[in-house]
Amino acid sequence: MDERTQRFIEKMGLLSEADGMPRIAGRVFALLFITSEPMSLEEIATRLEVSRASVSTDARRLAQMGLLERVSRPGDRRDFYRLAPDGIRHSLESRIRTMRRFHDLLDEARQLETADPVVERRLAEWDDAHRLLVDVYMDVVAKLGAVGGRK
Amino acid sequence: MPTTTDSLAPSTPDVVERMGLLWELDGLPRIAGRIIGHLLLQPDPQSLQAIADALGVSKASVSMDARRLERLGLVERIGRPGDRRDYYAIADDMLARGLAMRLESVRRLHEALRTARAIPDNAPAVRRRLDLFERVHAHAVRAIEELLEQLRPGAAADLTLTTGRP
Repeated sequence: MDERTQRFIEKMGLLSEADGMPRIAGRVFALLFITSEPMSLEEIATRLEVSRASVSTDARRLAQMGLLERVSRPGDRRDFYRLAPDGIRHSLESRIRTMRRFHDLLDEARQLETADPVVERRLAEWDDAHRLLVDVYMDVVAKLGAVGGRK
Repeated sequence: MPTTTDSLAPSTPDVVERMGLLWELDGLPRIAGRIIGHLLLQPDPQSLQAIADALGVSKASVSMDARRLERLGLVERIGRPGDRRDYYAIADDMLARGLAMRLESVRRLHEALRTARAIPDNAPAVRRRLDLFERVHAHAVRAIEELLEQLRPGAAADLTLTTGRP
């Protein structure tokens, strides 16, 4: 594998780890990101020099997250994967869902009987900041729509 | 037997627990997220023992994760005169720190995408994909930087804040 390709794949693996995902998931995503044709699990495993079993688990997880798409080929029983056409939107939307859950949790925290003004002010500040952050992500998703519509 | 569904009102342990799960999605150990949840709801600094008791975990594991959170700048360690114990509280600029962490991770992704651009013989479909991802991430970086500036002027350019390293 080309050295720059390898560097990109390893970087994405580390970033995936920093996001609480397995390193292999990031590497699988990166490999398919720079591949335009669907790839079989066997081929992905060979290219990444890992077992087919671990690729299979992580590819399925990435497909569930909407980042990859599983495709099949007529006359071929193997599973192929490729980048989901709307992968970036799905990843942003999943980020927004997580932030909304956090937001709901802060709302619940404010209903607790800890009437302490220090805690109350802190929760209100967090609430405001998260609302703004959700707005930022919504705006990015909206921009994405505009970009997609222009082609 | 009483169950949590007896009441629809949220309970403190429940909120703390779910806070732990959400921070886990951001790559923090679950106990670290629960420590943040617990401290968030306390007006005063808490001793390691008090945190361990509240979360029902060992003091050793609280101690390890509290230090990790301190290194990230999310919580603050506080000493008290005449008391040898360590106390912890939510850091004053935790919000800015948290946002800076998010910014850093988007910036790193943006950087990784630039590495991909250097790969020879990228297919046209891959180049288009790269263009789109780069544009979106550049926009996200700018927007989060603006938000951070709003929250704490000068923060976006403050590398100490965004890398978590002094």
